[in-house]
Amino acid sequence: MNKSALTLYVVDDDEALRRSMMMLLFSQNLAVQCFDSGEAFLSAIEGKEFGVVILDLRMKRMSGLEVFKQLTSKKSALVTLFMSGHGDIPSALDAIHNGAFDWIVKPDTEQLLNKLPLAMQEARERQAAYGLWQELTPRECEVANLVGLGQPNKEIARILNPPCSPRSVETHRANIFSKLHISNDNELGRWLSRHQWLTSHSS
Amino acid sequence: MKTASLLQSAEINVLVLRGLVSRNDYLPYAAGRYPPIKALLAKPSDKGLIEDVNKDLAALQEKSGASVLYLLDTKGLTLASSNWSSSGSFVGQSYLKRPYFEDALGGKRGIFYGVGLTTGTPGLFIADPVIVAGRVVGVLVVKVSVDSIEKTWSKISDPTFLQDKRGIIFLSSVPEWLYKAEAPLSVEDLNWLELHSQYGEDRRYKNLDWKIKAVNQDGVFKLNTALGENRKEFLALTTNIPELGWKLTVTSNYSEIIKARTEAQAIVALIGFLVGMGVLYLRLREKRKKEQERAIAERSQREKERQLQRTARLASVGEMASTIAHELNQPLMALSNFAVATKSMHRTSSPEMLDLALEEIVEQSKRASEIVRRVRAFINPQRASYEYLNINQVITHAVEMLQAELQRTPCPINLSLIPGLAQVRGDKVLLEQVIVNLIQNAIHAQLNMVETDRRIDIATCFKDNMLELEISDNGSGISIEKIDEIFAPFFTTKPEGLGLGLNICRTIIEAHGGNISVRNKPNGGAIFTITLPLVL
Repeated sequence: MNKSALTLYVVDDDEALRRSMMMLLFSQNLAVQCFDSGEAFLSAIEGKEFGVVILDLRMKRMSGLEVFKQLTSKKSALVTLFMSGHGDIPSALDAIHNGAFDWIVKPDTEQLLNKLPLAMQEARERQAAYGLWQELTPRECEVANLVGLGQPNKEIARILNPPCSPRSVETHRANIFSKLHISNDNELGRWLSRHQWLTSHSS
Repeated sequence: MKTASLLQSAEINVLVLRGLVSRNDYLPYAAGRYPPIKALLAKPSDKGLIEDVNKDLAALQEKSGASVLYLLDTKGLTLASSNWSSSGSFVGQSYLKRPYFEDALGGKRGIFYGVGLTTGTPGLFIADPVIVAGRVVGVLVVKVSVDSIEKTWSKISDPTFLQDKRGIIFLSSVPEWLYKAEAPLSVEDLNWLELHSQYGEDRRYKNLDWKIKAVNQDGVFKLNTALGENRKEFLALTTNIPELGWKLTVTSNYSEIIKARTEAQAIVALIGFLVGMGVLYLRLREKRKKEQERAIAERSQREKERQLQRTARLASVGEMASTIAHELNQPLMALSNFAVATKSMHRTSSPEMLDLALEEIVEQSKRASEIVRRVRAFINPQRASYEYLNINQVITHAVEMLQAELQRTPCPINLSLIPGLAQVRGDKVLLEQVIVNLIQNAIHAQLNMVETDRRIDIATCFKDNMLELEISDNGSGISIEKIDEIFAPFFTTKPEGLGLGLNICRTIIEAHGGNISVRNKPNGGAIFTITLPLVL
């Protein structure tokens, strides 16, 4: 995975809207890849990309929500921004509850330009999180997940396969904290739930 | 399309060039008829006359905006010149070898473009003979600067250039093409150029690295050439300007920068990327143009289908309003995007890019207004499409359309309709939509009530040659302060409502020559009353 490159995608079935997004983002010196359907987008991405996808909620074929669901099930690290009309706000809100980053109400270009940098920032943070996570050994990843679930050392020592002593769990835990720049269990729990997509990215 | 813009550009440039000549070519002729000049030619060593003519020429030069005006005797020697007082004065210089002098001495107008022998700067020379008693006694010459053209051309991104009759480029927006020739020059030509030093000394007249391809019937050809680091391909058009013996070529960037031959530097790559984006964008445009054409062909077919669907469709007025909102949002978002893009690009971007963006803005506003027009046409149907309708059938059909909704939200509907035929003229689908919408509102008004308390009454009766239709419910009615604005656009009591349903209903009923109103029942609930003209 390329460490520096964030990709920006636009998925919208409206030709003119895609062109306008291209020109708009081009005018902001952002390169963008456009897709005219959710199907085309999903088949084009590997699921390993870091970046932002601007998804139209209402499309003729696969809906934006469906595309988002598939991204989530693929454990994609892409940050999702929905575009919706006023009448579709409840669905957009639902999507936010399910982990979409934010939404933009059409036709508000300024709002898009305000929210896009935040989404890009989030994408960069995900990329950084991935970098940290990769430094963990497979065993540490396993331990981190269990610690995140709130399991005590003793329990973790028992669950691990092959099992080990609570003392070595403690060593793993210290390593995890130092590698992820985290200071306690709670923080690790929050970090992991914020980066749920990570679990499939572990090597 | 491209050809048209090339033709236009060629036309403008030819006009400018001809204008440059026609603004100045009368000067030598007019000045040549001036008595002191003839007098000076008769007495070339008269100091007083020389001074007079010098001053006259200087005054004329200043007034006309020409670079230099000067008088030659029949040996090509300058007797007087408008720049007599400057350090680079032409006075005393010999221009015997200049082609314009040879032409004028032969009795005809000489027009010549070349690099000045004295000044070293190029210009256009126009010479006319001074004739006394049928004999050429001298030659008057005006030199015109081409700075203004060079300046204009330097701002054009697509190459524009002028060639003489030998194919040598003498004026070009691409400086490195200057004084290069399209084809190798003959020995005679080279000798002539050397002798007259038209473009200065020691010119090599190297060949241009050009590949010319595919000429179409309009004279447009493809010009493939090296420009900077890359090879580029242009669409080009050459226009002859016979009275000057020149060929003007205008071009327009043809495809895309053809792959850089060597590994480009980072900055070149970046520029390439930006141009690439532009081209990608242009391609999308092209594609969309085609799609639009196809869409028009499909539209008539779709129109027929829509007529069918209108009768079969179950969509309520409310759903229609939501669809309209979505449809309108698309062009509005695109419009807003293009506008913001234009705003942020207008200082840095090329005029072509801005043109594109502005064109898009116009197009998207057209698209939005087209949607509005369609909606208006839809809810204000042509009277020609009206049919005789039995209102009782319209009502029962509307109720049938709501069966699914009534199963979800059970609600008894009591019909008390006029027995027999109550006939109106109108659009069946639209009237059904109105009734469906009113019944839906009645259902919504009673959502929070227990099932046994819910009730919708639909009644028809005759009143003053009109048909009166009442739809009432058992809900809480409409609050007094809101009852007046309930038909206004965007009035809504539902959190996600658009507030267009009742407004559209009113538009439809009024288009049918009827009326719609609302009042509250004394013991709670609302009554909507529609009146429609009866047809007997």
